[in-house]
Amino acid sequence: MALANVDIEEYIGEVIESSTSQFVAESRELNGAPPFGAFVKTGGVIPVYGLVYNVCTHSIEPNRRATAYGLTEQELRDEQPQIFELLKTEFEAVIVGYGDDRGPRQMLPPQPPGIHRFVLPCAEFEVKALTNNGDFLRCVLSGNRLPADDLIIASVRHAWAARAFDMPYLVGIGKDLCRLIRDDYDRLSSIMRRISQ
Amino acid sequence: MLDFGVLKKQIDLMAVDAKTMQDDFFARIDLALSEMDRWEEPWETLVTKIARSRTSWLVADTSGPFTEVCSRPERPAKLTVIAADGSQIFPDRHEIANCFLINVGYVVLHYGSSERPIMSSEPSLFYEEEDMYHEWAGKRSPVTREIVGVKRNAMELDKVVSLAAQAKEEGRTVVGLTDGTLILWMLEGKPYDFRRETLQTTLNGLEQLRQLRVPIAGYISDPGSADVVNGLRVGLCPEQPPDCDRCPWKAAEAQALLNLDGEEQQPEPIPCEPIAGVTDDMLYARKLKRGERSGVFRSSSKILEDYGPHRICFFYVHTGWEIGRVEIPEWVADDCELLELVHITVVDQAEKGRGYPVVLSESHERAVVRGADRDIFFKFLKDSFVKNNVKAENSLKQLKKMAATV
Amino acid sequence: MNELWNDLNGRPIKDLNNGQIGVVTKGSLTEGVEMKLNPDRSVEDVKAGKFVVIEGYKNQFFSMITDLSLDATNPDILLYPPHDGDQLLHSVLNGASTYVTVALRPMLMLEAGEEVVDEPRPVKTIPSHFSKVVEAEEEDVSRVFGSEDRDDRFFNMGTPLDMDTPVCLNLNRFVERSNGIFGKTGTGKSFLTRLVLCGMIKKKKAVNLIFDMHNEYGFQAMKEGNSGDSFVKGLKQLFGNQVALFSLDPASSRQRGIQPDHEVHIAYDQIAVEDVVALQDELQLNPTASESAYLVAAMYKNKWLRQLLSVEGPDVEKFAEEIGANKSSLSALHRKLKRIEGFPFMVTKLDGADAVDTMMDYIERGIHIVLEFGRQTSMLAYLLVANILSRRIHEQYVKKSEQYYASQNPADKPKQLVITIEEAHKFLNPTTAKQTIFGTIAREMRKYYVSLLVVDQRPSGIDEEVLSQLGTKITALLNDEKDIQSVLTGVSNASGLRSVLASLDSKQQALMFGHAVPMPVVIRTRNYDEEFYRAMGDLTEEEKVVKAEAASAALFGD
Repeated sequence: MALANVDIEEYIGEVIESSTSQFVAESRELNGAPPFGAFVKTGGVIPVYGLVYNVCTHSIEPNRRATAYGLTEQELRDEQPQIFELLKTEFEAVIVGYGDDRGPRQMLPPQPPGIHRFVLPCAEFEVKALTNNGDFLRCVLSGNRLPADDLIIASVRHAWAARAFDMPYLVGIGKDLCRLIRDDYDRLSSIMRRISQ
Repeated sequence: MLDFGVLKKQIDLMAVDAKTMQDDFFARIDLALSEMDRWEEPWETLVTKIARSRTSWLVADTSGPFTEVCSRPERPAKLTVIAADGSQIFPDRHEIANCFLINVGYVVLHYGSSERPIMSSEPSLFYEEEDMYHEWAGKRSPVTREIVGVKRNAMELDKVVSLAAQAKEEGRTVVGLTDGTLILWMLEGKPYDFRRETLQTTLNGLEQLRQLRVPIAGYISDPGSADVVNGLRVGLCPEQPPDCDRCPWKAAEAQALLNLDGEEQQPEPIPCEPIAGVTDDMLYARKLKRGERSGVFRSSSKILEDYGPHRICFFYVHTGWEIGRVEIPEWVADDCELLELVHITVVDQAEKGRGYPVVLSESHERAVVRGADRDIFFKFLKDSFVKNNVKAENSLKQLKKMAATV
Repeated sequence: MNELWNDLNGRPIKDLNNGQIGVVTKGSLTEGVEMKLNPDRSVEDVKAGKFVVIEGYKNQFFSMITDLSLDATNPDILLYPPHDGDQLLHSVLNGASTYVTVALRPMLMLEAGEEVVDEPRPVKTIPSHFSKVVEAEEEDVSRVFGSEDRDDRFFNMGTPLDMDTPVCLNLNRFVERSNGIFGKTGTGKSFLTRLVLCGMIKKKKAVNLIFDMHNEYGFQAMKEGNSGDSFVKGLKQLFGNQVALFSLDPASSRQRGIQPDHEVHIAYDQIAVEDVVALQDELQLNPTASESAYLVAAMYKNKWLRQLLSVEGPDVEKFAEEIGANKSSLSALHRKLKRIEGFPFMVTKLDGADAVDTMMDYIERGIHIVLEFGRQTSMLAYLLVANILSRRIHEQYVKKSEQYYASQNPADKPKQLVITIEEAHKFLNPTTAKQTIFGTIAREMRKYYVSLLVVDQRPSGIDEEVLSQLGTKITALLNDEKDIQSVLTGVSNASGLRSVLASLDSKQQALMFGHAVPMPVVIRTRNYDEEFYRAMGDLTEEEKVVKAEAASAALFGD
């Protein structure tokens, strides 16, 4: 079965750094990275699924920094068009699974995604498969340098939206989360409150 | 061990001295300014005098008073500015291959249309016989840095021309800028063939631009030129006509210096001396407000005699950050529209670039080959030679041996 | 491949549960087992006394819910509970951080497929971790308690809490021992008694002799109801000729529209000293007075009472001297026994058959007897009559039993007799228990084919030894700690039952435990209504006609 046929027209980024547990991609359009907490996948026969945890925009050259111009974006495009060539947007994703011939699997891939693979947003059924239970939260909580709480909130909101805001699902995920954060009640209630806002 | 007691006194003296010098200098500038004003009315007289004089310095020629000032014009809403810059990696004896690299960086910026600019670079590797050795006046010699530099300039201009042609085809309003002078100083005194060949390339480029009606200008930052001041010096000279080779005051000075015995008699000061040392930018810093330019002057550089219709003129402009010198071919100076276009482009570009025209700084960034890239370039060369099984050292020796034959 | 997609496709995997209410998490053999309630169940649906089944690895443990408690894993939750509108957090915490622990008491252990035999084995082990706990289903109930369809010995007493399946009493085992029906006033002891009596009568397990102090059991009785008072049918109405009504106060009976089958009279000569001694609490006789009675009897044999009562005034003292009794004691005795003369049923000489002989006759024929007291509702009358009659019947029974033991002829076997007494603590308090016939009967168990059915609202007043001899106890709501403790004397696993007892509804709920049920069970008692009457065979007129016709058709063919 053909998984995730890569539609080149719809790709949103390209992998520029890759490892077993994370990858970094440059987004196709400046400021056009997928949103924080979104589920993305890399193209190819074995798609690798990631959860976006950081988006940053900076100058392409380390010794040149952006400075303030005091102009609107339109004005900048009209009068300082070169600056857009000198900036790029990157996004980092923590790997939450990969796909084999049986479907999305919630475990780390045998090989990291290849450099220069295109990155696409995940389809709704893929989001559902990856967020079927609270296991993906474990990836978030065990990752290092991740904004864990906010990432949980954003990714659960995406997963919840993919299920048309089905409340029993959210309750189930809440219970999984509760177990994972070892009954840190304060943290749990803060997270749940913000998810359901 | 440093005797700070003694030294401190000396430093203080130096500071006082510097201040004096500064004050002295300001006085010079004031004088230059007053001279400029003095010649505002009778400017034609001065111009005639300049034409008849023989000076040891470059003097500006003008078709209007030196005091002429032009205000900042309107910039067209849509404008395309093109620039190209180059850099070279010139091999020295430590490197393997006998070749050189010219990297031309070029930038096309479109204003007023939100279009994406073109910002790129093109490397060219030269290694063929005819590139590595030149024959002039029957002599065959390996290329020098200077020659590679000339080639580079030509390639830069070439690139501007092709980009301008493309832009013009798209129906745009185009201006080309280069970094530095358009006057090929270094050709003075060079062999005829060399001069001719280089000039030909340059003038071809300028001619194409003229045909396209794309103005080109060279921007010189922090110019140290004194063409205009020198013109005022001519104005100060009492000789008719002034002839620096036959300057009586200089002779007296020289005599006084040779007078080993006898009285300490101060020679009379040279009349044009009081404003010597003042440069044009200092002068115009007092004269021009932000966005304004001076009148257009003709340079008296010898090489320009070979330029034909592309004879280089110049004006000074207050960018807001400095006084810059802008050099333009005569056909631009004579065309009001193009002249105005160049004027506003330079000012606008300098504003956008916070002091230096942005198109020039970007094309420079594109052109420059930084340390790491240099190393990679050499590594590639080495790897490539190894792959193709060329014995590096030997080949070099062989080539050199061959070259040695006459 | 498609199945996997479907499974993973969005929905968190949930069990369908199939009636599972929780899993076993902790426990011990002595203290009982604890279960964590499934989060999808509300704690309010789970009641103490509910009958559940723990499905262990090899065995099924039939258990009763004895306690419920709320827990939280993190004390912070209790300090900052989710506020009213935060339904989401509530649901998330439910079952994970906040959870309900249910204490279960396994009462009966059966291997899968095994049936309950008459001697159920005690629970010897406990279920393993995470054993499923499910609500009991119909098959479970009928498997444990039997069903009327399967076997004649089972009688439907009611249904377990929140279920519709009948819970049956094993009547065979019921009549093997003396039994007790308890509950504080107004909790429906009479109904329970009626049920049990009907059961024994219908299934012909024993002959009943009921001392009906408040005239409740014979003919119709008043029933408290929301829609005003109504009448319920008595045993005579339900079972017709199988029941004989005896009355101590015929006038009263007739006034209530009942024609008693026999009037009961007691001759003075029939009262023995033991009968009076049994009354000593009621009459407030001190031990010396009893001794005096013995002295009188020693002299006058069975005429002792007549003799004593015939003496009047100062003669009493003289009489005392005569027999060598204490003067003041005898006077007291005399004074108090005078009350007996007041009873209309007391006669000097019996006119007609001896009540006891008639009773024995009926009993031998298998006819049940209800003895009404009419207006003679004084405790003294009740105690006196019950004691006298029971003592004499017991005497007869002992004779018959011994005869049977000798001959071993099945025809000689006496019919199992159950004597029902109310206000049992009057008969069986620690003092009198040793002296009255009822204490004896209770202690003898089934040796002489007589057993008791005691009905009482103050079981703490009953002698402990007697209580422990009661085979089966059917208890409605009891509040008093002492009463609860008494009822549970001698019962294993009593601690769990304590809370269950205290949580029973005040009406129509009872806890049955003991010999006649394999495990303690809380029931909602069966309704004593038209449907019940029909079940007992009491048909309406039309139904009777139809039945008769059917019978004749069956007999004679058509």
